[in-house]
Amino acid sequence: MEDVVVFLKDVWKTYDEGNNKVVVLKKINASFKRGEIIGIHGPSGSGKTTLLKLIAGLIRPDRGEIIVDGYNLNMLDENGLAMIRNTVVSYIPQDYGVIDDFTVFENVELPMLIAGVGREERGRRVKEVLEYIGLHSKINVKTKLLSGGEKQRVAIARALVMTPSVLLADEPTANLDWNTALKVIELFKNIREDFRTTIIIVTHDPRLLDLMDRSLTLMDGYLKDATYRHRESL
Amino acid sequence: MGSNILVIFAKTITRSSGLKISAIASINILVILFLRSNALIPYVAMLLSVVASASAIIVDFRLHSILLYVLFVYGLRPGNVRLLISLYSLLVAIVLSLPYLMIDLVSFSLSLSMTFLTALSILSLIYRSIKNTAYVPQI
Repeated sequence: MEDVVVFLKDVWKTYDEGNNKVVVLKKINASFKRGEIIGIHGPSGSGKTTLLKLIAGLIRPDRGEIIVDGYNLNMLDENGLAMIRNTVVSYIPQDYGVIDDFTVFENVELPMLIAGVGREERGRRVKEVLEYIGLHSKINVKTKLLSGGEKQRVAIARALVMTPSVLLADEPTANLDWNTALKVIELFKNIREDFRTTIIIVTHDPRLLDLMDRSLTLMDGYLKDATYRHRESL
Repeated sequence: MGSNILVIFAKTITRSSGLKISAIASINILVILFLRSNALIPYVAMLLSVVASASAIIVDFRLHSILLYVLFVYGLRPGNVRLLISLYSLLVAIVLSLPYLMIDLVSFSLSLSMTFLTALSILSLIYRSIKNTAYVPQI
């Protein structure tokens, strides 16, 4: 268990669709180590996003245990899960989730506003993280004026500003061209090197899997290790 | 861990179009109340206040839903979300009820309650939808 940051044991998740119950995740067992970059691949509707949301503490499993950086999410109430989302794990949604009416600075400082960080400290940390991401020149620009790749970087900066142990990215390259996608993955690799962050990336693009340390496939609700199978097929 | 709720509140106000709509609606309601010619007019004006309260939230639906989504994803405690929603609804309600304060104090409290509950209900529905699905609701 040493250096395991995310641990899932016998996790099940079901959604109600009218009168039917759809089992999205079945008996998921997995562990992710500190500083690992993991790719999760699978067809649409296979439960990739659901898996990320469970790890992020955004939704709860029907059954099973999820432990993130030592916190058993089942044992936490709503306030506890909020604390985890603010300080331990950051989720980057597929459509970036940036607020178009806010500037880059205002978007990135939001997690710190939630945490009650003081004004000067917020300013210093936002500048630091934007310099790291390479968006310092756009600090006071409204995000609606940015390109897709820049919005993605704002979302990454916002996720990084509280230096979480786990970064979850839902289809981070879905709306980007291949060159921009490669730059985003390069940025994730730098983040892993500099902060030892565990990064879990959901993608439908099989080309990206070769750039990860490990890749998993979600199929029919089951999670399978796909690293070797994928590399052999190349 | 004290959240900077008032800072988030102030940013929401400055970016919202809904409050401008509330202010314009409030001036119109004031004019209607000044020029009232029969006993039903105050009730019609109060109905207009409720509609304006709903419009003030719906016109900023995208801003409110994405902001509430980000606050949920980045861990604002549910109690603080409720406080933020209540503060915003109260502000909309006060703006829309000002004409009643200037003309008739008894109607002021009724208008304030109705417009406040309208705004609060819509914002709470948006937040509940986000909390249950972890998705930004679409309109």
